Amino acid sequence: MLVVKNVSKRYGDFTALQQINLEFNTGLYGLLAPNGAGKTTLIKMLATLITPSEGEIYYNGKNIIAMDEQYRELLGFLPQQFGYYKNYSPKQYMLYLAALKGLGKKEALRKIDELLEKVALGDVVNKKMKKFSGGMIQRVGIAQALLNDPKILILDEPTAGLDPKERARFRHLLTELARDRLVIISTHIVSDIESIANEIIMIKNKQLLYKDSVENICSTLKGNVFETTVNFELMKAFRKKYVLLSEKQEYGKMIVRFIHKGVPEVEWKPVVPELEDVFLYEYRDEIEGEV
Amino acid sequence: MKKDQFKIPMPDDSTIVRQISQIVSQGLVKRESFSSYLQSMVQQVGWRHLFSDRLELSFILTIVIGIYSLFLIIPNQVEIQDLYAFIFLLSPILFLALSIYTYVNKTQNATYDVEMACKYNVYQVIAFRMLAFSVSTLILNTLAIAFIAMKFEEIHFMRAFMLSGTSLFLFSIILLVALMNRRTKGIVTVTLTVWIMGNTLLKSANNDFYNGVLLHIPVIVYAVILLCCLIIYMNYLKKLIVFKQVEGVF
Repeated sequence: MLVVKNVSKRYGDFTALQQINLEFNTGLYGLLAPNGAGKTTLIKMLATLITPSEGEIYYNGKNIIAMDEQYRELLGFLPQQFGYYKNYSPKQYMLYLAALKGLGKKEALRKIDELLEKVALGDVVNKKMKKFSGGMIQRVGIAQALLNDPKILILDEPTAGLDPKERARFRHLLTELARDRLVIISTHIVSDIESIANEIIMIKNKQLLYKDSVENICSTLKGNVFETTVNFELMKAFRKKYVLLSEKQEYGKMIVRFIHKGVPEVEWKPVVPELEDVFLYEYRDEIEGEV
Repeated sequence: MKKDQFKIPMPDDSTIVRQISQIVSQGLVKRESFSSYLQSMVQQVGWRHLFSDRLELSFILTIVIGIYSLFLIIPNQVEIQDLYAFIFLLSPILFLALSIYTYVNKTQNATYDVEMACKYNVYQVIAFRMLAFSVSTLILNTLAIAFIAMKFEEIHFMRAFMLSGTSLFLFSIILLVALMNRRTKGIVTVTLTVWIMGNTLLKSANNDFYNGVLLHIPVIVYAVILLCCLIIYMNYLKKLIVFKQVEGVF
C-alpha cells in the first residue's frame, strides 16, 4: 500500500533521518520514539508537507509527490500543532476544510455532524473555538482528519491534551478505523498504542530500529527483565550497576524493575518484558539526557 | 512436438497503433489545463471559502479605497512624463499589498499544516487569489487611468494602459520568483525596495532614456511586452500550484 524506500532527510549539515525503509498495509502502526528522534519529519514526508532529500515514498506503486492532489484526496492528517481560526466554530472550520478537501456542502454537513458527535462535541458545534479546552481542540483535529473518509490516516501526537477517558475513547475509535484503512500514529506515550497497534515502528540514531509486532519487540528483552527489592541505602550503587526501568516505594524498601543481561541473582524475580521496558532500554541515553 | 507449437496471430499495423493509443489513453491521466483546473477549484471550493477571512476582506477594501483616493489629489499642474512614471511605478502596488497579505497570512498561520494536507492546498489557494488580485488590480488601474486621461488631455489612454499592464505583470513575475525562491518576509521588502529604487535610480541616472522608454516606444511594442509578461506570469502561477515545501521542522 504505502512504501518508504531509502528515504533520508537532511537540513543543511544536519541529518534528521537516514536510509529509512518501511512498508505499510491496512492496519494500525505506532511510530514510537522520544521527542526529537525524527517522528514528525517522517510524518511530514508521509503527508507530503516536506519532500525527502533522498529516496522516494510510493502509494500503490506511484510516487506520492507525483500523485500530488490525487494522494491528498486519500489522506487524513492531524499535525502535531493543530492550528485553527479562533473565531470559527468547529462546524464553520470543518466546512472550510471540507471545501478545501473538495467535498460538496451537503455531504460535508452530514459528515461534520456525524464526526463531531463521534468525538463527543455534538453539543458545541456552533460555539467559537476560542472558548475550547486543549482536549476539545484536539478532538476537532481528529474529526477534521476523518472528513474525507481517508484511506490513509496520519496522526502526529494525537493524544496530547486528552484526559484518560478521552484517550480510551480515542483508542476505541482508532481500532474501529484501522479495520479498513491505514492508520499511522506518532507518539512518545507507549500506552497510547501498546494495546491497539498491529505493528510498532521505532527510530533510533536517525535509522529504523524496529518494525514489528509488540510481542516480537518485547521478546528482544525476554529473560533480561527482573524485579527485586532493594534497601534505600543501596539504591545509588544499584542504579549505577543496572539499567533501571521503574522504581516504587513499598514498606520502607524500594521495588525496582531493571534489565540485566547475564546470570541473574537468586532473589531476583524474572518478569515478562513490556513495550515500555524496550522503550526505556533502547532510548536510555536520550531519556537520561532529557532529564 | 508439432502439436505443442502455438500460432499467435500478429495484429496488423493499424490494430497495433489503435491498441497502443488505447493503452496510453487509459494508462495515463490526462493533465488538466490551467483554466479548467481553476474552474473546478472554484466549483469545488467556492468563492466563499477561497476568500474566507473577513479581516482579509476588510483589509482589501481599506487598501483599495486608500490607494485609489490618491488619484483624486493629483495636482492639476504636473509634468506629463512624471505622470507616466507615476503610473508605471505605482500600478503593481495594490497587487503587492493584497498578495503579500494573503501570502504571509496563509503561510505563517498555525493552520498551515492542516491546509497543506488538503486536496487544494495553501499554495493553490494563494495562486488562485493572486490571479484574482491581478485581474482586479488591472480593472481598477484601467478605471484610474481612464480618470487620469479625462483629467489630463495629454495622457494617451492606450499608452498609459499598456504601461500600467506591463508594469503590473512585470512586477508580479519578479514577486513570484522571489517568493518561490526564498519564502521569507524579508524578500518582500527586498523586492519592493528593488522595484522602487530601480525605477528611481534609472530615472535620476538617465532621465531622457527613462522618459524615452515610457513615452516614445511604440504602443505595439508595449503590447508585445505585455503579452510576453502575461504568458510568463501565468506560467509562474502554474508553478506555484504544484509548488512543494522542501524545508520544514525537525
